[in-house]
Amino acid sequence: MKKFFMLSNEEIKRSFKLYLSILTMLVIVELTSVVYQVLHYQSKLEDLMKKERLTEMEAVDQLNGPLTFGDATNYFKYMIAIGIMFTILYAFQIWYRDWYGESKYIYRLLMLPGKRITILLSKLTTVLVFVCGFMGIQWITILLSRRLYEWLLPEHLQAASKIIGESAALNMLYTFNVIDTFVILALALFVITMVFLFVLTERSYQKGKALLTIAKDVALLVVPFIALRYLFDLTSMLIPNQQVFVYLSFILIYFAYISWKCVRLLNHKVSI
Amino acid sequence: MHFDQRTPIYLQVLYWFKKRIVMGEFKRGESIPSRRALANELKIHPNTAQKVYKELEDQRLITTDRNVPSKVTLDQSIIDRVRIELLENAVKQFVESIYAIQIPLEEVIINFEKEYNIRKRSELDA
Amino acid sequence: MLEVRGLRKSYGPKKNVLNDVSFTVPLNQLTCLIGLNGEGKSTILKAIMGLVPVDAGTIKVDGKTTHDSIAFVPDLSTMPGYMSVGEAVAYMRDYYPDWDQQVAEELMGFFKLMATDRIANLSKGNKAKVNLLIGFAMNRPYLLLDEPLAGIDLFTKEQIAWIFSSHYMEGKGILMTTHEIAEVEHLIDRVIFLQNGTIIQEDDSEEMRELYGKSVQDRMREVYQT
Repeated sequence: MKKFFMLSNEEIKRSFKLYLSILTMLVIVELTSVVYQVLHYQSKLEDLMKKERLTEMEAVDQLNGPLTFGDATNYFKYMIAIGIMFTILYAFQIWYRDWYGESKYIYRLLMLPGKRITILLSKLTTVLVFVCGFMGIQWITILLSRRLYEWLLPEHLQAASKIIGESAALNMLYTFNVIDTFVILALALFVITMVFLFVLTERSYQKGKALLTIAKDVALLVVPFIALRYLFDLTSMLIPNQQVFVYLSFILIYFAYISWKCVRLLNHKVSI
Repeated sequence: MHFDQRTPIYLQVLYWFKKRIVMGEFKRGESIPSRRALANELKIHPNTAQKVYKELEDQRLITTDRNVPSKVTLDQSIIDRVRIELLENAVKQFVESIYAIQIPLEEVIINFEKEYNIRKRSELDA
Repeated sequence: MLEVRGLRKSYGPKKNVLNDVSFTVPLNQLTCLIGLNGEGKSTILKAIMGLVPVDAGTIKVDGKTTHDSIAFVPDLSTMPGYMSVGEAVAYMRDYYPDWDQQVAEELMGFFKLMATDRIANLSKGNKAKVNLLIGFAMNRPYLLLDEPLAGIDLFTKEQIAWIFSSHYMEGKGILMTTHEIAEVEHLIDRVIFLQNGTIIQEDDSEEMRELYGKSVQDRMREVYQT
């Protein structure tokens, strides 16, 4: 346990500055984008009103209605996508930098007394902590954006909050649901573990065999999934709730499989 | 200390020690450097120093009591014996190197005395 | 005694890196693993430490399969560059319960390394010194050294070689790989000759000298030129 906390602490410390700067950048970009959207809308209104001699209400009509909060935060989805991309890249880098950095820190890690699974868990935890941080900051940014939106835009130009129309994913984020948080974390855990499996596979086998093994592991996920889908479509033998249960069970089993594989590779096959 | 890599190291160190005892650099009854100090000074493995000290003890050249630095023996006869041993070894080596060239003994002795006296004189001059 | 038995490793049917490598490393002696470039010396050390997987073979210390008695000093920097020497030492101290802080500090003093020096800014020789002092301060009976004198300037070499005559050697069984025979010949107790991943000869160096009047370098020439 002690080793786990020490390693996690160190991993977090190592990337903290970079993490903070990316986070700050995303927040600034997001807030700026809100301000931009609001001002842009207002200037379009004014342009219309001037050029076509419309009243404000008519201009608003022309622009398909007032500016919704969803419109104002339109660019957020790109920022979130970038955030996800960074997270996945980090999941790769958190391993590769120990192999390819100016010092081969991986030697130290692999030689530490105690179990090697602790290394895996500490890196996993670090990435998840950063994901949590990102979610938390994103929520705060949404709240701040809301205040910004309400402050900058005159009331009559605001639309009743209808973010639901946007996307299910964004909706999850905007309505601060505890269950949704766990769903996102579970998804993150799954994706990160997959990334770790790819990294550890690549570090354990030579290129050809590594590629084949990765392809096999991906197939083991995709093929049964598609097979299940077909089965349910053709036979429709289970009601949707039960179908979801089957899918989830499969995902859980698969997750157990890739986790076990990660540990096994780290303990027996990985090479410096 | 420069070592001949073709002769056992511990023997070379042993010789170094014996020479110093015979020459009086390590005097009778006096303390000698510790094993560690010897290893450090001559740049040898500590267990080589250990081996040398064991040899010295076995040949009764030094006495070791617990918790006290080892001392050179007080027994002059032992030191004399070593002196003769060193002489015999040197002579053996000399004869070994000169015998094959087949120079008559008298000539060898004359040359030997000459060289010995030159050496003695240069030391007195210095 | 550290026993290596039957190490085997290959990257394919024709690429055998280690062929049934077996040898022992006794306590209180300096054993040297000699081989021409790329013969697998480094791989053997790494295999002993579990850094590289092997197809077969066992590593035992006094009959037990454990790494707790072995410390490895690699030939490259393994502590993160952003750490200072002091932080690296503190790091090791936290993870290794048998860590000897006094040895670490003594050696830091002898090597003239400041606790505040950042590892990334150290010269190659100084990085090697850090690795070495960490290896000794780990306070384990067996020490594996991978090319401790390679590519280092003369004065640093002398400093590092000093350790081999110091009391820090006492009670330790050392396995060392090196090309630089000349500097350490008089310190070596046993020599293991490796070629193409196979052990071709094992000698006791003092015996070689006593019985045959041969130096380690002489033996090298004999062994590798047949």
